[in-house]
Amino acid sequence: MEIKSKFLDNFKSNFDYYIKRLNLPDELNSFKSKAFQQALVLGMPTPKAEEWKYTNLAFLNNFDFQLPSLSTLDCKTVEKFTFQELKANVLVFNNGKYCKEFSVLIDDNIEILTLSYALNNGNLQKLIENLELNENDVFHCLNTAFFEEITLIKIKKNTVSNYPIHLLQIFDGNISQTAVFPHSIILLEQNSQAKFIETYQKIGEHATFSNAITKITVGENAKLDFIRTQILPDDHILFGKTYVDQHKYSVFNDITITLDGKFVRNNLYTKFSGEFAETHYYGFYFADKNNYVDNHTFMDHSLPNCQSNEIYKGIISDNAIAVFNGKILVRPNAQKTNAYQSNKNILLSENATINTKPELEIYADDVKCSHGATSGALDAEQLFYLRARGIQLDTARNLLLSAFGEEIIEKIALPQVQESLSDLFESKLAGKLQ
Amino acid sequence: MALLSIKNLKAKVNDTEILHGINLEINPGEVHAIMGPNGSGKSTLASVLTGKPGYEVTDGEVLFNGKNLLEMEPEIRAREGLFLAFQYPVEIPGVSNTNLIKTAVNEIRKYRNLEPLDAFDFISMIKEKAALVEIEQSFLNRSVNEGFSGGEKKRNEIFQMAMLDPLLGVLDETDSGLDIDALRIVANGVNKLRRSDNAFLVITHYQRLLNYIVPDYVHVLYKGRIVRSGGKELALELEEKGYDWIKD
Repeated sequence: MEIKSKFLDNFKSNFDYYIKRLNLPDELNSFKSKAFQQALVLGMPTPKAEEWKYTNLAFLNNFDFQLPSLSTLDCKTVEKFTFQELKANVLVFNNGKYCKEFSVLIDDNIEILTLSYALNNGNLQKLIENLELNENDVFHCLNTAFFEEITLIKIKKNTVSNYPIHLLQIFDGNISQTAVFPHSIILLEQNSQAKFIETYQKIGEHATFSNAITKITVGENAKLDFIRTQILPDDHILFGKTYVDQHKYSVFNDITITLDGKFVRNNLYTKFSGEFAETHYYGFYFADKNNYVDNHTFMDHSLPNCQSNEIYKGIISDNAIAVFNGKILVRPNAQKTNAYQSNKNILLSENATINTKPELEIYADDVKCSHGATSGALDAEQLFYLRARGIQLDTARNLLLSAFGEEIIEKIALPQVQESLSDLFESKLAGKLQ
Repeated sequence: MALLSIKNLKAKVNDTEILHGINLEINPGEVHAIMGPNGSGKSTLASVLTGKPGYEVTDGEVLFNGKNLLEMEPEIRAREGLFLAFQYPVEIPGVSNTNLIKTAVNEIRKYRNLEPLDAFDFISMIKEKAALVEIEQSFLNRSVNEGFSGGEKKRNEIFQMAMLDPLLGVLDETDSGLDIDALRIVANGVNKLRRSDNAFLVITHYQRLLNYIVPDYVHVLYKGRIVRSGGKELALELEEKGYDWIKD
């Protein structure tokens, strides 16, 4: 059954032309065609679908998104978007396409391979062998159909990146309303370590939409920190999926901070390919105005002896809507799993909404799993305690809210990044409490 | 002029009247103890004085330093010099003791048109006051009361009181949950803060604390009224005869 969607129709008329323009090998073209056909079959999800229960995507029909064409990015703009104080490897992406000319690599243990390079140099197979089609997921299908580039970032085995790797995603709306489909692969080979930080920026007057896929492999005994800081202007719509595959003894720390964005939907999945792996998910969202922030996470414990720990916290004010849906699946074989999840929310206004849905499915008997979710106003006892010390109500609220968010922001092991986010959070908070 | 003057104070919680007309005067330099059995209204009195939301004053007046206390927001009462040492100090994860006390000290100073304390003065003040209740420096960097033992929480209350230097310190069951060593530390801390220009109201169920903080006056609260007042010997009499004695 095909559900009518102006959003999808718009791509339909562009697809053939786009494929021709990309000039990819037949093998990839037919894969993309298949993905697009499947997207059309699936249609856009409605709130009837469990995964989209709290989301109305009809607003996407109001746009006239075109696929990316020319880049208008320049050096000065890129410079503006990098962290001033942070020495880092900077990988710049414009509309999902890796821009070597703007990127700076300091560490020599990083290897980058792009689809466009591979096409001319014969190692294409390495990039596309892992492509798969998630036939139930229209956004996955759309990304597969429309990605223009694949970027593989490899951290070589037995090495540590001395400097963080900044993935700077720039969305270019200078030419038209633009839909972007970033597709990247991050591979930490065995015994390697790296810290990634992904930020998102927008240029141009037209609205942009991004629907990204990031596939991460954390090799045996490797350790990866992945930080996402989402501070988006009102005219960017962000969808992002991150799939993580963890090998034996690996550690993966994910920190997702969303401080602004009209529409943000993050999907984060971890599966284990080896035992004794450890995963931490930390999230903090501060949704205000009419914003919508949605975090879906899925921890798939399929092997024994793995640990996962998840803490998501949110402040929701004005008319904003936030969603947290955290699933933990412990499969029958996954004995000695240790899984923890918590989601805490503070609502600052009567019109603010939080939909929180922890899901635990446990099929093994020798496991430790716990979860908890809270939502409500600030703690009245704490507020009174502070006021009884002479602290003004607004200052007291600020202290409590700040402590609430900082618990997550403090997890960022890059002091410069932590500080700048902290400042931004505090100033946003101050604005809300005036 | 009395520092605190309570006249015919009536208050209710959830539509139930708990205080049925309290009269009490406290002058600078005095220590008053309020004793009473459970449910007599001791903690309600403390809550009403400090302006805890949820308590409704239905009659009477309270003058603090000549000003109408009941009209003030809780933070204004604190800035005017009223301090409550809580019976159950609240845990505040993520807010350090130092941050709390620094914010409080400076907001109170601002209210009194004083400059914020500079970092050096603040640190030396903290050192001095922490020593009063035998608190270690590391304790100050921890989140307010989070994971503190009962004794640590009560010592922290007295430490905060020392930092804020109130005109009237209300100690709500500060002795509950304290072993004898902690009790002695807490009481010593309070005694060192006693001056001719400040006063304390010690609310307690047991006489024990009053061996260490010796009151000038003892009042017995029963069913929302002060049914007997006297000197420190009244506390001993109560200890001996029990509360049944005053119920008759």
